[in-house]
Amino acid sequence: MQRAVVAIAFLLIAIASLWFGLSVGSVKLSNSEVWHALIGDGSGVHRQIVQELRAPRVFAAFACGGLLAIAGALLQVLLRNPLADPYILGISGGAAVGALSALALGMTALTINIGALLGAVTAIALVFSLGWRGRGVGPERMLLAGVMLSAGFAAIISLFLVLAPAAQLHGMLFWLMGDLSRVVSADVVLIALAIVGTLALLLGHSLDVLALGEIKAMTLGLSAKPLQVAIFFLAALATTAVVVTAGPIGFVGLLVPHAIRLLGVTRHRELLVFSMFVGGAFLVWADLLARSVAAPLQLPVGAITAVLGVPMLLVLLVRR
Amino acid sequence: MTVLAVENLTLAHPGKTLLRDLSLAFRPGECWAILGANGCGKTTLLHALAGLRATQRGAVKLGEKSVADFPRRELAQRIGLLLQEEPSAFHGTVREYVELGLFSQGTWLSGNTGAASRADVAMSRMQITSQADHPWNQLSGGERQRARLAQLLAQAPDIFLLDEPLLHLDLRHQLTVLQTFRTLARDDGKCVIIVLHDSLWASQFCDHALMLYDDGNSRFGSAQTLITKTNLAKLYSCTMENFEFSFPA
Repeated sequence: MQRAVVAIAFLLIAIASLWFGLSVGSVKLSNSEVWHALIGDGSGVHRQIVQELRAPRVFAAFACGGLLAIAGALLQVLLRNPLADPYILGISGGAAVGALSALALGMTALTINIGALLGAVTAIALVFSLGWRGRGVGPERMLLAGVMLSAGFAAIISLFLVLAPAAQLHGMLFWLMGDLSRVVSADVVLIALAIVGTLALLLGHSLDVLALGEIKAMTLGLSAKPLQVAIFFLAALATTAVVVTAGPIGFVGLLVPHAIRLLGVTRHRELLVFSMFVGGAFLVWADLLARSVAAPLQLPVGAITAVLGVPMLLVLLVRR
Repeated sequence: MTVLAVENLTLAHPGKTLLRDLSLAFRPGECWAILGANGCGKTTLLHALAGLRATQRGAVKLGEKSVADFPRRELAQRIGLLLQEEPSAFHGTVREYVELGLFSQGTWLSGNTGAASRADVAMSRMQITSQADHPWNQLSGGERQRARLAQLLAQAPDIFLLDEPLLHLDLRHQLTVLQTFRTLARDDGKCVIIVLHDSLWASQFCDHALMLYDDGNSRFGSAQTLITKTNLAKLYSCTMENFEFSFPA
């Protein structure tokens, strides 16, 4: 069927992007070299390049892109707002404050990640308790709470940037723009993608109903409240995993679900799967550009996603 | 099929009592009209009957159990509600929209396998089949109303709560809708409860009537005895002597 063809096409694009990401870099590898390095019988140098340098980064890029796209699609339903993206609830702001605190104290990479995690969890707890009212998630209230929190965190971040010594400034700016060059392992984001992707897929049909509005969904037999809580925490988990791993990479979460919708996909199960593939592939390509455009200089991938993403979405919007 | 009953029901908005101490049973096979002035609490009562709203005092019971104690899915299999307003931006086709009415009959994981055929039957009853593959958001107001009614028919509950089902409909479709639901009550033993502003239709199509007054009082009984010029004049605080309610042939 047509849907299956589209799904397979997106899957192939995703796989091709991953493969391309593994073979391109300062050392260009052929397909067979990549294959042998992956299964572990190629030359030692190739194996090291693919398995230790490129694979973690490429897979992390794919997982982060997929997670951001799913989180964006979920939040756009939960908050009933097309402008919703994974960062609208202030999770990235909280993580940034945590990470910059650790950076300012001159801590190691691991402590920076822990700082980011603590900041993200604090933000999630705050926005959830502020946005929750008796009957369920109040989209407006949660949005306003998130925007206010983000503004507060943004103020703290600017203080950090003004007060930080020049030597730390570069690291802070890179962190804030989203950057995959510091990824050592893709494990956390891949596990998060497996969890979030599976659960989001299972909830897909319920999301179709919830999108009709909370009251309407209840008359159709959906327990809106537990579903809203589940969506909130799935999106929060996805966002936190990405932000702790790579910082707040922008635009993927906003752009990809809208792009898929503009292609005519309306059911959430398909929207979520396609968003995952396309978001993942998009970030792999953006990261490829980030590490090759000005090589050996590495650009922050967050800047690339914005530069690529904004015109792409505008073109889709105008063409509709 | 079960009886939907309200016992000593009181409903209020902050500062206003909408309904005081109503006790009444809606039985299978009955077709009810709920009449009353704007803002008198008709919609609030329907929402309370559908278990969407807490009651100030009293209870709404489906059989022995309060509607508030039913799981949502089970309640949706028994009670369906046509909302008066639906603030949704649905992007799929009309068929996809109607099929969502079958949500309560699937498992929480998957849709209903018989969805397509039941949606088709519902769409043909509401004469919207020709629009089945059109995008929902390109429908006119009246077509949209029929699609929403088709979704409710696909849901196939025992008790239908309709909040102004004739909104945006032309004469032909008004008749179709009223006939469809009267048949559901008379022949299939469903219970149909309609909030209507058209008293004439109410007297023609419904066998029972419930009148809600502005002060929270109410009266109910057979539509034939209750829907009279005198009663309507009192209900809506207007005079009706000067109007003639029949058309020339």
